[in-house]
Amino acid sequence: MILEVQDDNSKQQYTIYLRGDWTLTQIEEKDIINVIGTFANNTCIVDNLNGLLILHPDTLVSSTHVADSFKCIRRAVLQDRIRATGGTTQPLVFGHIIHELFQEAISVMDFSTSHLESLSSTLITRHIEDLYSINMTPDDAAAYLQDKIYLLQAWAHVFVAAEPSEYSFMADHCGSTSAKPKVSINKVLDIEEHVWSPAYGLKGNIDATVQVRIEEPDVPTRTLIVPLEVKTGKNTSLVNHRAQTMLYTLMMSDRYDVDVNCGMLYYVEAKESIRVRALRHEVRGLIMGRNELARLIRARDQLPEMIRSERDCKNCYAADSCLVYHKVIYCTERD
Amino acid sequence: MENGNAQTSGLGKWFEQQTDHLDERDTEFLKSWDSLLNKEEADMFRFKNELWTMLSTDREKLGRWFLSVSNLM
Repeated sequence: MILEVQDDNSKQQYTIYLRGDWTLTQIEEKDIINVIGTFANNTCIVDNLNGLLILHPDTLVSSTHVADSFKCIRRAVLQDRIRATGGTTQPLVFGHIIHELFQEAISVMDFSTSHLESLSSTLITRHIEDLYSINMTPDDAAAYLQDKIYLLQAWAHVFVAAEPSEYSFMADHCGSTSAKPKVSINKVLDIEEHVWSPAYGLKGNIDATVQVRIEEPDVPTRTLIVPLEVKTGKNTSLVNHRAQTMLYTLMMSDRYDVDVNCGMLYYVEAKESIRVRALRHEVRGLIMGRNELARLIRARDQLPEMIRSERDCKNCYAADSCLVYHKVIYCTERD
Repeated sequence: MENGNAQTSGLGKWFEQQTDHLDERDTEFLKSWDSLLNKEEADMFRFKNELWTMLSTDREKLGRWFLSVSNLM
C-alpha cells in the first residue's frame, strides 16, 4: 500500500510504503498518521521488520484497553466510551489496596514491618467504604493484608537492592529458562505515573517507574529505566498483562526520551516476577491493534459487532452495557 | 439504526433475560441521550491535540491558554 502524505508544519510531501502486515491497516484519505521510521529521499518503508505507523495519534488509547481488545474489541470500545466496569468484588477492592500499599512502600524504599503495618491501617481507613460494600470488617481486612505484607517483604528482600544478588533471578516472558536475567531495583522515579504519549497514541498509568540493574550472561551489566506493573490476580499466564507492560515500555520511551526495551511484571499473589522485553514482532502486532481500536473509538455513532460467544459474554463484566447497547442502538460497523 | 434481539446477539434466551426490562420509552430515552453525550464529548476533545501540536504562545493568541501564570497565594 502506498500513502502520499504531507507534513502538517513544513508542508513537505512524503511517500510511505506499507508492506507486510501493515497493508491490513484501514486508513482513509485525510487521516492523520505518525510514522516512526527511517526516511530517505522523502520516502519511508514500513514493513514487518522496520518502522511503525500510528493511525490517529491524537486519539490517545488506554494501554490496558489495547491489551484487552484482542479478545473482544467491542468491549474495549465500550470501556473507552462508558468506562464499563463490573460490581465491587473482594479481589477488586484488595487489588486496589495492595497496589497502594506496594506503591507507597516502594516510593520510599521501605518495606519494614512497622512501615507496612502503619500503611496498611491507613489504607483500611481510606478504603472503609469499599470494605463495607464487600461486607468485611477492618479487623478481617487487616488480617488479610498481614499475609500480603509478608509476600511484599519477601519480594523486596530479593529485588530491592543496589546490586542484584545471587537470588534475584527474574523469568523472561519468552526466552530460555537457563539464561534468566538477574535484576535489582535501586531507585524509584515515580509511582502511579500518568503518561500521555502522542507519538504512539497511547496513555496509561504506570504503577511504578523504576531504575534497575540487570545482569545477564554474555551481556555487560546495565542500568535501565523500566516500567513495573503490579498484578494481584492469581493467573500469571495472561497474554494481556504482557501486552500492557510492553505498551508501557513504548510510552516510557516517549516520555523519558530513552530507549526502554523491557518492562517488569510482578505478581504479588503468585510470587512471580517476569521481565517482558519489547520484541519487534509483538510491538508491531500491538500497535496494529491500537490503530484498529483508535479507528473504532473515533467512529462515535457505531460499535463493533458482538463476538456472539455465550461462554465469554456470560462471564464478561461489561455484558450489561454491551447487551443494552445492542438492544437499543443496534448497528454494526460497516466493513 | 434498528433494535438488536436475541438472535442478532447470538446469545439466545440469556439476551432476553438481560434486556427485557427495557421498554419502548427507555429505548428512546437512551438513544437520545447517548447521541447527545456523544456530540458533547466530540466537542470536548476538539482542541485536546493542541496540547502537543501547538506552542503555548500560539494557543494564547487563540484565547485557549494562559501563559506564565504564577501562583500569587
